[in-house]
Amino acid sequence: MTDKLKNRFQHYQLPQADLPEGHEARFLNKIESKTNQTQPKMYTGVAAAVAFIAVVISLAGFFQTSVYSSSATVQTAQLGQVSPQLEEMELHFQRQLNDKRIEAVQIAQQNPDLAGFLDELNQLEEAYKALEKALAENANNDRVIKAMIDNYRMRLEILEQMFIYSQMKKNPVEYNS
Amino acid sequence: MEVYRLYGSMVFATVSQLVTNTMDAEELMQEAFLTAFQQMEKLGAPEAFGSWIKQIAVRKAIDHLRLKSLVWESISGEIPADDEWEEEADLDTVYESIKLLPDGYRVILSLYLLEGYDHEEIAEILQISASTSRSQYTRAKLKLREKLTEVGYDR
Repeated sequence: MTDKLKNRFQHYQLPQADLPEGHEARFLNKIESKTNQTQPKMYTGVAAAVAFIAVVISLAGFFQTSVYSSSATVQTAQLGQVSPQLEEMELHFQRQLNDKRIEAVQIAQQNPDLAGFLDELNQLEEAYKALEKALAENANNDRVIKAMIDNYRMRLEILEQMFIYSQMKKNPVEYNS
Repeated sequence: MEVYRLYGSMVFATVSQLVTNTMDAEELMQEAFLTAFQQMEKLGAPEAFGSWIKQIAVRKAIDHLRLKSLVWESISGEIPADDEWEEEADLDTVYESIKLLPDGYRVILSLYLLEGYDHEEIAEILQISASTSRSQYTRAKLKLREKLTEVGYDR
């Protein structure tokens, strides 16, 4: 049996509904808050660390703009050239970073939402190159040496944090219980 | 945001018909968009986005109402047995009267008459049997007739 009312409503144009004022801004806020919930919090100290390195370089008397230039005449120095102890420390950091970086790249390929950790790692690596140039100009400068060690440590911490987030994604129950 | 601007009003109209509180309707409409954006890979054909997001929004609205528990109210008073009013009543008045009905009746009339679902689809959405959907629709129409009388329709 045909339903008369349904038949008539088939050709009925629903009245336009006016969306409440400010709905678009509220939607954008909602998107932002959802994004913050799903995106892991990156290592927030990176920007500050990079800025601090620039200050260290500047205090060390090395002209900052030349540090970031790609001029072939700028020399670099390794931490290991300062002392045998620092050489050992540098090797230790480099070994760890090399191994972990390979794993981090694989994780970022499988989890694009974690790629931000690699971006931060890249920033610190660039800052480290600047420190190498500063060290070449200011051998044995304590501030530069300390900034280089801190840079290595921070890179390792970022990778560790990335691995933890990766595990959390794999086993959310375990990490939330 | 273009998609939101394009379909927002349509989805809001659908949700507002089911959930009469404007703030709730906006919230549910936006949640539907967020769900759609997150599950975009499930959308086979882009041209089907409009009907797809409406389905998501309808289900969210029903879930919302279910949380408040849908109540099927009984019919009171004498209801004319004729169905002439179905052919003659002004549809805008019918549309506005549906909005004034209790949740259960409003939902079933909105889904069946305005959104074009059949009873099998409504049964699946509301998690009831198709025969229950049919009987509740019949009761809802009687309730609607009662409401039309209240708002001045006198046939």
